[in-house]
Amino acid sequence: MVVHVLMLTTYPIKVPRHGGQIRAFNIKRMYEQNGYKVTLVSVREQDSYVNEYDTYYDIPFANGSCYRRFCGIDVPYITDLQSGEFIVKDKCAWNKMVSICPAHVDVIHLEQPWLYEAAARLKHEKYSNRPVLIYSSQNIENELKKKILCFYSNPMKDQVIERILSLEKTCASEADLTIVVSSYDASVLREYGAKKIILALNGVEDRVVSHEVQLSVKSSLPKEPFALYIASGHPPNATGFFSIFNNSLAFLPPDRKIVVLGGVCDLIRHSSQQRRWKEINASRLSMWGGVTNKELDAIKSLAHVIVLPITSGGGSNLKSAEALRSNSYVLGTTTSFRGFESHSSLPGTYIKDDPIEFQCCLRDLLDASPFVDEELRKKSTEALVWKQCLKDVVIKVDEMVKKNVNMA
Amino acid sequence: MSIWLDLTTVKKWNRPAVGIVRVETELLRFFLNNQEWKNVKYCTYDKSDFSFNTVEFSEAKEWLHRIDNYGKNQNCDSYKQSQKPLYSLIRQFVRRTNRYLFKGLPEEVKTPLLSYLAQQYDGCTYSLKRKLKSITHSLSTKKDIASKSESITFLPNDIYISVGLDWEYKNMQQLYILKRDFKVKNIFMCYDLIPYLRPHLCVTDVAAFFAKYFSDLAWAAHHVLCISNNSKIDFLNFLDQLNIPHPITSVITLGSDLKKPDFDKINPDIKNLAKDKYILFVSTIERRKNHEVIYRAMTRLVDKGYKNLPKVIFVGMQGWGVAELMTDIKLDHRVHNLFTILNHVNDDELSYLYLNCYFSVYPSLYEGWGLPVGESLSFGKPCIASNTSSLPEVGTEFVEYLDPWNVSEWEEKIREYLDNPELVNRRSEHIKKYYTAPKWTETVNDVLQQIL
Repeated sequence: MVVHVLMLTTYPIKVPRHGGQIRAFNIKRMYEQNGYKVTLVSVREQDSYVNEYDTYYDIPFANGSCYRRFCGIDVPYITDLQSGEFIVKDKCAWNKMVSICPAHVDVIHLEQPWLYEAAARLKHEKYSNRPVLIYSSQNIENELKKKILCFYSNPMKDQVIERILSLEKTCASEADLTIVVSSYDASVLREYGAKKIILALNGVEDRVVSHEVQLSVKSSLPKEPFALYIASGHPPNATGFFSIFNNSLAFLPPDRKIVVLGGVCDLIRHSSQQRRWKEINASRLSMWGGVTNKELDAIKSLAHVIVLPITSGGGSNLKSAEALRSNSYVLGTTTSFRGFESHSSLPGTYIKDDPIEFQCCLRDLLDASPFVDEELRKKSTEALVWKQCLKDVVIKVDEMVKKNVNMA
Repeated sequence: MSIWLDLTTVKKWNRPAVGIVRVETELLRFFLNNQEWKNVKYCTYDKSDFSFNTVEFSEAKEWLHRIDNYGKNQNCDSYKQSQKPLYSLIRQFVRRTNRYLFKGLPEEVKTPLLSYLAQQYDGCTYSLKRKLKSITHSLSTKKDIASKSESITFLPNDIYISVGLDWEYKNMQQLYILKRDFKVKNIFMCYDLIPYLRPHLCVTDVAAFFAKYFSDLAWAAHHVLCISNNSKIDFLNFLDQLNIPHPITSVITLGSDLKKPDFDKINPDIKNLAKDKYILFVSTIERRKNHEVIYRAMTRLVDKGYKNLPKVIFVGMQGWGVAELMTDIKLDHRVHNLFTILNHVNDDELSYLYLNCYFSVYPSLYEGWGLPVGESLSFGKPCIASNTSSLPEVGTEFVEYLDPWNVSEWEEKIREYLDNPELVNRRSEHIKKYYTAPKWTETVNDVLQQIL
């Protein structure tokens, strides 16, 4: 029997860039490698992911849609939450959703809580076989949004947090299986009512670094040993950066730099927090923005230190797993190693929560000889490869599908 | 081990030596005049190609002579009151249009035009001046490299002293490499951290520029000489805030012993001006120096019917953030005849003005040191200064200190001095008897003691 899975996300995964996309991409691939047939439907922000979506299975959530507003009021950084309301309330969108979902599915895999209402309606209205509902959490979203929205004096922020909390509680209690990325998240979702929980850390994909690409990026990279920060445009990534570095990079000697990759570059560039220090920071930052995966791998292979200045946000940081699998020194915070606690004592790995200690440690590491215990670290981090991280998920889902079929 | 004195600022300076420039000129004078320091080497730095160039003894002497004799051959136009209508109009025109002038014109037209404007009208905007400086500097340094300069090889433990306008002329990143890789002991000065501490008192965008300058300076320095305890505290607090390792820091005292005036070198117009009773305020005219409180105090005295008020002489070039104040003074018929603004005053004229003033004022909002306070005292002249930052270190018990923002206090104190010539005389006698002006030779000895 071929198991049919319907995956629901708020982003396409055709070109996986940010952490959420990469996780969803690897879960889909894991299902497929196990012989499942997977249909992924995404409700995506219309203006994002240009040319990186599948026209048939991606439903655009327009910028001007009235559902972008929460109770009629603009609230920043909640398009994901609002996409859930949009898909069930907008008739056109809902009809499209119903029409593109396969006639039969055994599993509805809900990636993050946002599209729960759609998943529940599909389960009860479209599929008479009552498919297994999997809630795949990436974070404790209400806690994360609270930290993001605390910077805004928005009149609706308390209601927004309340709505997300309620949504997460419903997901946890209604799902047949809850997948979490850290033991902390497991404990919270258990409190929210999750019955069956399985821990699946964020993983890493081992890729071969192209020598050619390495040569081409090398000419644009700093000549001196450099630190590397890779992060998406998710606001806590900039918050952590500025709070750990105390807004200024003057603690680094004038010839040392931090290379920054990903959407966080824009957040750093436009932040008012560094206004006073913009010339200091400009002299010590090399901002690359978005790069291809090949370039990313090449730059990572040349980094002297990978920094993870993460101070907020739940879940587990996918970039931390990648850093632990690298051949560079890794310097992070307790928060950045959430979910990877057992690997935080690996050679060349440092945890510093105090900003001054973090800065001094980075300064020392940039002066140290390159990291050499690569082999030992590779062996010790075998469990961080996606296949290993998700292997228990496959077993559990298989078991639940069979049980469901038998009951039917 | 060699000692190198960087003369980049002296080389480029074409005015009388002011505070910062004076530190470099006095160090140079000391080395040139003392046989035991004949082995000191001189150099300049070219920021455009990051090169050091040696300077011959004779050349250094020539540069010092040029600065010392500034104004000797100048005619009456060496000073002017800044109310000339044509001057104002052209300045306004330049301010409004300099961007377009720069953009549109080819280099061969632009440079001489800007030079002409700058020579004729020194009140051009800050940005114009900076651009002009960089153009003329790069032209002159390129010529020098081609003619007589040779590049320098520094050896470990060499001492490199740079005490001039380093934020303008130096690349601190390269000087950091000099320290780290060549083990050269770099000695720099910290005059003040005002652009960082009081960014609102500085030209826009300078705050971020100076924050970088000070942080790079700390990284590049083996030893930083601060010109007051207050500046040292400010500097170390800055380093702590940014988690920058401390270089060695020490405090030196700037000399304030201006020489007695040579009457032959004094412009007759200044002699005439100094015949009347006047209050003296020596300082660049910019927002931070708080000329406004003196203007307001004087208007209050006029409004309250005070008769026979003395003149107030501002000595200094017009800088940033005072355009409205200057217009107020010009248009305010109550006081506009009381204020005189002198620019391009040479050392002899300055000494003459100190010597003949009734008393001096220095209401600055923030200072790294406050040289005019010490200079006033060195001529036995009482000074009323503000109670901020380093100023109490300069004037100690010889100066009366007031809140720089409190116009009433300034009005009352000026009135008290005007009403009581005997009090002013007594204070003056007390200063003459007990105040010893720090000498520039002592400053130089202090520097050498700290760094060797």
